Amino acid sequence: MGSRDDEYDYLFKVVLIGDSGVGKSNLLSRFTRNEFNLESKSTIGVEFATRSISVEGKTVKAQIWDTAGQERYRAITSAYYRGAVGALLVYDIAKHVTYENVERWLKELRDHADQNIVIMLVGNKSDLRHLRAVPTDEAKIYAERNQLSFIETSALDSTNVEAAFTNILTEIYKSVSNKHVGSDRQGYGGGSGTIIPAPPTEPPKKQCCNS
Amino acid sequence: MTVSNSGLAMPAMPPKIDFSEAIQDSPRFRTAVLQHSAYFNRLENRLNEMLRHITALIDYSKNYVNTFYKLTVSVNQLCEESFSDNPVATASFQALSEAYAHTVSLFRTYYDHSNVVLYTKLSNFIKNELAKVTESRAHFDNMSQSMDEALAKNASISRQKPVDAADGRNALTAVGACFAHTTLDYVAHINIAHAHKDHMILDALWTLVRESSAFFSKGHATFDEWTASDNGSVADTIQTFGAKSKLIERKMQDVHSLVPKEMFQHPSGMPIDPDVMMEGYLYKRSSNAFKTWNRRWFQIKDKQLLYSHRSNDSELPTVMEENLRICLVRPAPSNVDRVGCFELVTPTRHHILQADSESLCNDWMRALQRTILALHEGDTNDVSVSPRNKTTGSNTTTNSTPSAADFDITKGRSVSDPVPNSEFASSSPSLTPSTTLSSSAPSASTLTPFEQIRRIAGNELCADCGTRDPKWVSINLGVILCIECSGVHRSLGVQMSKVRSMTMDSLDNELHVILALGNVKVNEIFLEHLPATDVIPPPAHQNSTRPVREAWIKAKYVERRFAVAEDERARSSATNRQEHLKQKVNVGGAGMSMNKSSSYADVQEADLNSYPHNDADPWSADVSIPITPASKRISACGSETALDTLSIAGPASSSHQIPNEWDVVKSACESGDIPRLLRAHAHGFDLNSLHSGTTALHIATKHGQTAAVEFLLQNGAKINMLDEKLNTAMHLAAQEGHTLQVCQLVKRGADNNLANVDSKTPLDIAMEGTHADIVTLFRVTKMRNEFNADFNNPMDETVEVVISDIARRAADEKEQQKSKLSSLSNEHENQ
Repeated sequence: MGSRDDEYDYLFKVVLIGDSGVGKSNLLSRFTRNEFNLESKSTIGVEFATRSISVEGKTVKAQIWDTAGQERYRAITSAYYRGAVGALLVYDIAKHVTYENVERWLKELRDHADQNIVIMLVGNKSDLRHLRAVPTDEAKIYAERNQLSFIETSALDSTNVEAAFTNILTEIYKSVSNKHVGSDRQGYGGGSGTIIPAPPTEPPKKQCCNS
Repeated sequence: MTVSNSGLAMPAMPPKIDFSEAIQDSPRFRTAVLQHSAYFNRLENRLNEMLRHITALIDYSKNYVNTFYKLTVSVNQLCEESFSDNPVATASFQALSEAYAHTVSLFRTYYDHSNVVLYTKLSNFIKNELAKVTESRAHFDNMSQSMDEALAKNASISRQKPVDAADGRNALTAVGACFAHTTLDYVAHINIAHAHKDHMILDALWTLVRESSAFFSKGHATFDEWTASDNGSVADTIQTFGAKSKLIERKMQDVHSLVPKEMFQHPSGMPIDPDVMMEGYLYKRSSNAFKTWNRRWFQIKDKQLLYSHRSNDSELPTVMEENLRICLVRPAPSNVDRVGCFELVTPTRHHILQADSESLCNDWMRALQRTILALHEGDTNDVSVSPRNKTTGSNTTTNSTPSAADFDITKGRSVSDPVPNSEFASSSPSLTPSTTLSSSAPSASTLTPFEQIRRIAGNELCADCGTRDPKWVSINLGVILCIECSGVHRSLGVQMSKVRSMTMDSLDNELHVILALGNVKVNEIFLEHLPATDVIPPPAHQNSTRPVREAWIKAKYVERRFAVAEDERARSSATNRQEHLKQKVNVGGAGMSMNKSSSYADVQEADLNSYPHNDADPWSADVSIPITPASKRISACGSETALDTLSIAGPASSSHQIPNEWDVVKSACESGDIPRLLRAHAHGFDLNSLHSGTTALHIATKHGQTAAVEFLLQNGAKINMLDEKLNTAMHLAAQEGHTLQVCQLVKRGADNNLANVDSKTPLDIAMEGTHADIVTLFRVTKMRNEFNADFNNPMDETVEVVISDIARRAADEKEQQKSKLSSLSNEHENQ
């Protein structure tokens, strides 16, 4: 409670999606707490964690939502995607079926999430080299065709976890700050506004420089 | 093959066989026999070929009849599915389908009688007659062989053996006689077959013609009859419909004239729903970081602004603004770089909306302003008029007001201020007043809460003075009040009566309580012992002055002068006062030992502050205080001795209560019997008291009684009360998987971080039970608390949406279960 890292310029909601057992929760715990649990159970309902990183001199706070890939452990769908600006679509490189289901998850995103949501395809468990079932190139081509970013990670040995989150947050930051030129300066926060231009610490005037 | 080949050269009909020739077995006879046998072979082949054709015919006709039958069934289904709402068409359909059924049955009889009979007759002929010929021919061949052998044998007998010669002659004679008989048999059969074939084959073939003729004449008769009775009406119907369709065709040609000349300039047409003030498409700027613009169908309905997707017909419209009365409309700020935008501002958020044109934008702003204005006027005038009427009435006012926007702000604020914040907002600062409860108005009924409340007996008059058409309600007492009496209720303080407007405030779970009570039931409780004459103070009536009302209402609800019999009242108020003194000491002592680390202590404090002691008030909420600090102390040290203190405190608090009162409360909580709960409460039952290690709130929660839980919380039951296992009500709700109760408690800011005797929090319990919804509710609230922002908390809206999503789904599920159960029990009864 009350870990007051409230000093942030942007707050981005990012959701983790993908089949059950691909390692979403471990990606989350690796990124936010640098923890990994080999025997973690199915997520029940939703879980949250936050971490702030610095992007181009701004503090970006990521609020990451994690939910069960398994339908029966899930509670909410529309509220889960509501206000999300980024999605990590995770599959297991050692289980081809989880890769096949990426299509289904993309459809769910199209149905429920904002049309501008930044999506990153994440092939997790890259440490399982000997069991690889999804070739990197195949996934990369698929990602390009669907205009997704792509990365392979391992929550177990930490490979690329940091990079995955940093990349998607940077991409969101760019997308948002581009859009924000000259609009909505008075910072109502728009009610739920997942982007909260910093509480009065500093006026977000420099945002336009990279447009 | 050889036979048929030789047969080709023969005449169509072989000559008659001469019997003497037969007996001689002359070559002529043999030739004739060959010819006949070839003839019969040919005949049989041809007949078999015919049988094959007939078999095929039978198959086809069976198929035909079956398919025809299926067609008839389809016709009936077509009528049922697509024309059942058109009685004229249905009648014709029935007549036609009957005709179809007749036809198919005619066909069936015809086929059964014609083909099948033909087949049987022909095949019988082959089986009986031709088979006999073949059989006797086989005999003949056999005998002929034996004859040849006998002859050969006889001929080869040597002259030296006269005995053998005599034997041979005898044998030859015998065989010869036998052969002659067989031959004649054979010839007889040939002749019989020839004789039979003529009439049998002809008769068989005639069957078909006879049946056909019968079929057609029967059909003729049937359809003559049908034509006489039904043909006319069907023809008429078809003609009528034909004429109608032409008319429609012509109308449809004119349809294009409906396209307005200036598309997207003005609202097109009046909304169909009379409650909808205006509707149409607007772009809505999403509140997330992308500020995406989405096109949605908006409606101004009653006091709400709703929107829905174009594609999804089944979805319920989303409520954008619950109460337009507290909103303000103005042109969008200049930084919105789009044409035709306007802004809807509420105390907590703002929406940017875009119409398809500037003029349409103005129309929308005007419509919204009119609605807002009408809602304000409704405060003083009658609110039950439909919004459209109201707006026409206020039309001129709006237009004559130069700056309608400014006008709206000031008025909106000033009117909304006197409405008291809900009492739980003060105990949990993270809940803003506007967060209150947009979710589960009972989806089953289409009535508004206001209408539902009004339908309950007694609710058409004020419960306290009898004024007509009351519009206010006390959500904890369940009575409907006029504005005057509601003012008096307010002055009593929220611990006594929580007043809401039935037209302006939104009611959620409170509605369950109000619907379970109502003026008749509540007055039965509070006026149970009303003396027949000389009532002091005199009951208030429609024209009573404020002091009269005050005296009456105070006597009725605060002193409960007429709820309890005179003597009992005197006794209990004396004990109460004594208790009260003891409690004060207790509270002090407990306060010292309290462990302030937990937020529970804060809530406790908040409770103490919000219910100030008032000695004139014999059943003020602080009666319940001794129990909670005591149990609090247990949670702090968790020792056995503390439990002893508790068991001492328990009987003390229940000593002044009627012995079995707890049983009554317990069963009322289990079954959700709100009137009985209110009666017990009115008789002085302490809702926070601990009995058999538990409290009323715990029992009601455990049994998933939404209304009972709501009633208890509204009437001062402490939301974080602990039972003997240190469970809060939330623990039990999580345990039982009662999602609705979790929603209810979460909304009211219950603490879900307290650990019970097994050091488990409600979250732990929900995890164990894999109640995904409940886990989600706990997690989102926790997340919001971590943001630690009182103002503009980015999670506020999320939490609100999640709670209302889950609550709606849980309520639906419960409703479905209920109806399933009731249908099951109905079935049971029927059996």
